[in-house]
Amino acid sequence: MNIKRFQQLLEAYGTREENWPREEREAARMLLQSNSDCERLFQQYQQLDGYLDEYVTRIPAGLGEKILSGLPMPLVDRIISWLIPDVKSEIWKPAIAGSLPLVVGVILGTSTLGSLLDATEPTDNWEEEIYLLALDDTANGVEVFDE
Amino acid sequence: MGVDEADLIRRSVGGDESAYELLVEQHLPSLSSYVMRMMANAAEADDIIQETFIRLWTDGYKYKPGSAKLTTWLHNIAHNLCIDYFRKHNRLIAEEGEQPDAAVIGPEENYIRHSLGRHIQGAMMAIPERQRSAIIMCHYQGLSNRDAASVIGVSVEALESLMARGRKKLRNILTLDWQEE
Repeated sequence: MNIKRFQQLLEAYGTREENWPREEREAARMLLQSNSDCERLFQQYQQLDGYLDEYVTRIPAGLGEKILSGLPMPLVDRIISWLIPDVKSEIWKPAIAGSLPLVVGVILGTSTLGSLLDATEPTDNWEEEIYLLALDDTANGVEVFDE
Repeated sequence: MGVDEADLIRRSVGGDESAYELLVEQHLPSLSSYVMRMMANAAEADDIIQETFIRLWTDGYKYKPGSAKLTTWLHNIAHNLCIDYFRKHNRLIAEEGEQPDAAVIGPEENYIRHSLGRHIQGAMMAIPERQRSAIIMCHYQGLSNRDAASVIGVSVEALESLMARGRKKLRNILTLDWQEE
């Protein structure tokens, strides 16, 4: 630590020892105690720190509550609010949340069952009928005898 | 020693509002002190403080306890939000410009300077944002030079340069103010 570096510390960090870099703090303190030039420099820079300390702030009233009440809702809650905007009771929320998979399951089940039923219905497409006739043995003149 | 902060963060990320509430309680005083000194306008400061804590709720999973302290991580978010705000509203002050004069502080503030705190606030608002941020973090917030440098995204040497230039401007502005009175 030399006077030049000591002055650099004062210019950057000011005169509060606790604000000086930890690794240089002790050396700077020793130099300040032993060197009158450093002491003079120190006094020169002290005024600004005194002024800065006058600038105090207070947490705005109710800000903590505002932060907590302004939290974005989880996805499930947002869906519930979108589906049923007037739900205020906390008891209903888990019930509705629990029923959501059931609703989704019913919708999926209905659509899948519908498509399966479609597959078993007789076709009325004439091209498919010709194709099926072509596969039929009787169409080639082969007689099938019942035993 | 209170509740383990890493555990609170883990629970908060999992959607535990009571854990999140404790984190807000712990960090609100420090963060509001930083943002209010950065912004000077109460409404703007409110918005930025709120947004910072919403990020803790929504993006808390991005925080890695081993890489930085939570307070440094939150200061980093708040610092970026402040700088973005000034940029969006064309209020960034050039860092390598001339000495700011009283007009930068604003005429109405010149009339309402009834206390020393007002003087300091006006002077702080007249210096470039990164210089202001560096001074606030090291003087008021108690952040180490390494943490403050990482928040601003510069080396420790660059941080010292920012603070030295900022303090020099503050001294000049404040000396001018008192000579005028």
